[in-house]
Amino acid sequence: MEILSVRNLKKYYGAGDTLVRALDGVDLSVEQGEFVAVVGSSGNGKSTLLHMLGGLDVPTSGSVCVAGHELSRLSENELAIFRRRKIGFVFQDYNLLPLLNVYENIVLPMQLDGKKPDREFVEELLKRLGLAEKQESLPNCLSGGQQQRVAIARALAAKPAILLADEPTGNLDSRTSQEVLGLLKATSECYSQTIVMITHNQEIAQLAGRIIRIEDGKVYE
Amino acid sequence: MIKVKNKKILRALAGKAYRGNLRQNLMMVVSIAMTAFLITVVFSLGVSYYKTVTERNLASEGIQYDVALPEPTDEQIRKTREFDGVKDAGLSVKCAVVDGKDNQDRIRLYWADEICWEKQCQPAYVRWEGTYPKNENEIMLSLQSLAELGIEQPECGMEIALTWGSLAAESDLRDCETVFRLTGWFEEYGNHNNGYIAKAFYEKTGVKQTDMTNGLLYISLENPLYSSAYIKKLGDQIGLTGNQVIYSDPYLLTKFIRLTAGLVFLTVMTLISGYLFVYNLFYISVSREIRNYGQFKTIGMTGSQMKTYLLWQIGWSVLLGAPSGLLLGSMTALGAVPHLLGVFSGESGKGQVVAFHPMLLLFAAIFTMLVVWSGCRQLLRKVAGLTPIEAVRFHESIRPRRQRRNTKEVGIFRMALWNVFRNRKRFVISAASLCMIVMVYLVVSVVLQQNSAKSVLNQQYRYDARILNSRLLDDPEYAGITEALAEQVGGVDGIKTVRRVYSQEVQYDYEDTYEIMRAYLEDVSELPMMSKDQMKENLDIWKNESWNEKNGSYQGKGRLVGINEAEFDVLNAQAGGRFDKAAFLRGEGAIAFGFLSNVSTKSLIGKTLRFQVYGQAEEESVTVKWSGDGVEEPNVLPNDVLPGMVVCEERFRQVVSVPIMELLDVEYEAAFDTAANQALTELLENHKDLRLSTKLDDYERMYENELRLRVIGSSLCAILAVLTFLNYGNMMAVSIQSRRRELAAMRSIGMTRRQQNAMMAAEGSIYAVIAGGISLAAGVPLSYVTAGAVNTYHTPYQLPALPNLLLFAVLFAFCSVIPVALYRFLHRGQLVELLKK
Ligand SMILES: Nc1ncnc2c1ncn2[C@@H]1O[C@H](COP(=O)(O)OP(=O)(O)OP(=O)(O)O)[C@@H](O)[C@H]1O
Ligand SMILES: [Mg+2]
Repeated sequence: MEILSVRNLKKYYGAGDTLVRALDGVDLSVEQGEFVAVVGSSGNGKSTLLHMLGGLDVPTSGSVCVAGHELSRLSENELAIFRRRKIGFVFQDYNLLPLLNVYENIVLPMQLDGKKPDREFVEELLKRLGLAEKQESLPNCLSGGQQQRVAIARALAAKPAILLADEPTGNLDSRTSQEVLGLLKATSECYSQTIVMITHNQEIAQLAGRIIRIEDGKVYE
Repeated sequence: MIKVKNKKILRALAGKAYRGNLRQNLMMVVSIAMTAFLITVVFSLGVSYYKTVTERNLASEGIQYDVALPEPTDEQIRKTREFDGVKDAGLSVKCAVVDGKDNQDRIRLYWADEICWEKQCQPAYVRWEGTYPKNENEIMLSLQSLAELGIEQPECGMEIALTWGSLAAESDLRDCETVFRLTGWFEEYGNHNNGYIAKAFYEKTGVKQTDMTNGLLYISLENPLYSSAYIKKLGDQIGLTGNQVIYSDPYLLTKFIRLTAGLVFLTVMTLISGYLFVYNLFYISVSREIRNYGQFKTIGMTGSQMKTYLLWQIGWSVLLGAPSGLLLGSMTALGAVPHLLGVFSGESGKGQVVAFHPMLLLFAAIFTMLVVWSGCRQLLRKVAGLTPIEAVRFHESIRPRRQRRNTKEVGIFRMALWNVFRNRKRFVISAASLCMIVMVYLVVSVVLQQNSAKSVLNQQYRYDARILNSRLLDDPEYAGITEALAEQVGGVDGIKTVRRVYSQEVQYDYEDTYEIMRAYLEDVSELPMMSKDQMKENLDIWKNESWNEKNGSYQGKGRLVGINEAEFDVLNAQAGGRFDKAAFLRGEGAIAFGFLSNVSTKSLIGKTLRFQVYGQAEEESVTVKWSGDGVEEPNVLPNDVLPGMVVCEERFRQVVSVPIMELLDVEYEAAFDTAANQALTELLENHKDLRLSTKLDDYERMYENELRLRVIGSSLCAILAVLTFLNYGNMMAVSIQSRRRELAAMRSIGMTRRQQNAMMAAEGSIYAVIAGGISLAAGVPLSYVTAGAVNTYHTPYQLPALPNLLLFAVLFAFCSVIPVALYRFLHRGQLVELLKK
């Protein structure tokens, strides 16, 4: 079943001389349960694509359809609700809330949805990500890698249908990276989640079922 | 050389930063201007009042003095001059008047002794020339009186022919013609037709300094703010005779203290709010720019250079704000201060001296600078001492709580709560400025309520008009209010009821009453103003002196009061209906009222009191059935210490053969009805012997004062409200902007805008609840104290419910709507953009 479909997606920044074609006619289709790695050199539009898939940005033209929803048809509020129910997003720069501690950051999306977080599952996640001792810490007191793992935990905690991860292992050493990847694969299999992950690391990309390359705003398989 | 260049660069950098942050800096300018404005107004208020008090007699009488003694004897003058605290005591005697031409005012000629002329007259003049007259035919005149005589260009030595008459009672010096030589002239602040003549002339007129209304000893005191106790001591020392009183203002000191307290309060409020606003704004702009400071530091800017850089920016704000505030303040001071003064002193604003002095501006400027400096000082030092890394980390996201266990629920409200307390100092200051306005409003509303003419009058008057037979005091048989008049009053259009109150002085039977009233009398002797010995003495006199032996005053005095049904209804309503109407109207008993309404008459219930009416042979008696404790007595003529008995009109007539009406209390169909009031006033035109006082007349007198208070109170609230609005709005705007990424991050993980709106509203409400709570807790006592201090009409303290409920509703709405509106306005654009650093 197709869960993600992108048709002729364009995103241009600026105009005239300074026009940047971050995405220039992207077509993409991802089946449910697929594990897709997105690679490409810096500034090629990887993050832009991921933002489009997560409904965080509005395309210049083209359509994005996620789990049967045409994103451009959703209102702002519907999009927010859609995100917290269906999508887990790991940002390149984490975007943790400085006010909340690790645990609170992780369960916030579920609480915003009025759901009771699955406590056991969250603790299991924390343990596997090596954060069990850090539950009460504030993000400011964590290292870059720790923060990144919190961001991953937050994305996984609600067991979203789709996980969008922007370089989730960018700040991790290779052993931890492998472990985190193992976790991602395991949960995605367990809950039949779809994963789209950006990475610069060829080794990690190899673990994915499918690799997509982005160059100059265009997609190559 | 390098140093100079440095400074230029710093200045240029500061200028750039200043312009780059214009909105913030404009608010700083406004805050400083408001502070300067308020300080100027409050200061000039204080100085003007002080001048009004100390120079009060300058304009009105052309002489500088504090109190005066009429018709002084030489002995009294000597004693006064020796009295501690008396600076100068100068004698002036009015001895002759010069006939004015046609209808013109007459010129009064005075003789002033040396002290009076040198110490009290001269300082009171705008200017003067020449010397005091020495010879009998010499004279000194005011420019005003010279002008009356047709002399515009006076010259010393010129001759003036005048027709004058002596003011001595039995003098035959009338229409005397004398050619005077002008030895000098003077210009006064007020316009008076005054002239001074030599001692020789004064002696010739035959006027004595002790003559009624002619001689006056002007007394200047070391301390112009004298107390009434001081004046009393002075009077005792010099031995006042007969009708002599020292002319003084017995409430001067109280009024002055009251005003000073009011001004100190205003000053403190002004300084505190000024400080809060400056601090808050400066804090916001510093925390906004702190990263830049870090960068400046990393590239080698020293701490003191950092300070200079910031001082330039503050300096510009002061330079723009302070002068405009001072200017506006001076304008207000000149225009509005006389009225402000009227409120505090309880006098009309007209005769007030307006003090405006450049020194005042200087002081106000210095205070403004002090406020700005104290608002910035701490932060300046902090910023100057920051290391580059600290500057970069100068982040607001410190969570204000200890690590907690078990609380794993993070609701929107909880996040709002944490956001509010994120930066404690900023929270304290913003909440404090909210508290300030709420408290000031609370105080102002209480004071306004207290001075609201209608509420004061409705509370204190149980009638719309009262016709009082006031001559009864001197002539107990004076029947000023006739039955016919009472009927006539009742017939006036718009008058609903006329309540009649008769009263008759009686003497209680000694033997009997002493036994019956024992408990009552004991209570009386416990009163602080009573002396037990004195009471015993009086009782002894009572015992030995019978009614007939009285010579003007006698003991055992009481009062029998008769009232009609309408009056009874009012009393009974006040008593909560505890009197039995039918029994009372049948004349079965009396309501007993204690001395000064202070002594309970409960002990008299059921007792029969025997008494005698002057001029009637037989002894009468009434039985006390009810105690009038807690109820206002219907009559106003004073009772002696013994109780008053109130009976129904019929019973009164049975006892007293010639019933005299003491007063009529009139009730209109509608309170404050002008037509009825007018009709009643006209009716009473022909009864000058009666005293008519109406609620409406008093209302009109008080209304002016109320209006002034209202204007001032609302302007004060408005200024503070604007400051608060700016302050709170600015604080929220900065808070939202500094949380831009965080808010975007929340949305990216699924928080809807609606939820964020709710969070913003919750943050504002928390401010409102905290500020409201604190100001209620602190403001109510404060308003109580303030209300007590300016309680001109002795109204009981009352917190006006409606305006204050409204205030809290507005506070709540204001606090919660502002952040939501700002969030909408400021947090716009694509999520991805907002998430960027
Ligand atoms: N708001 C913007 N305005 C203008 N250009 C932008 C904006 N956002 C992104 N771009 C441009 O779009 C292009 C794609 O950016 P994007 O962040 O998708 O790159 P990326 O592939 O994720 O790079 P990296 O691997 O370094 O994260 C870049 O050239 C970037 O400069
Ligand atoms: Mg990227």
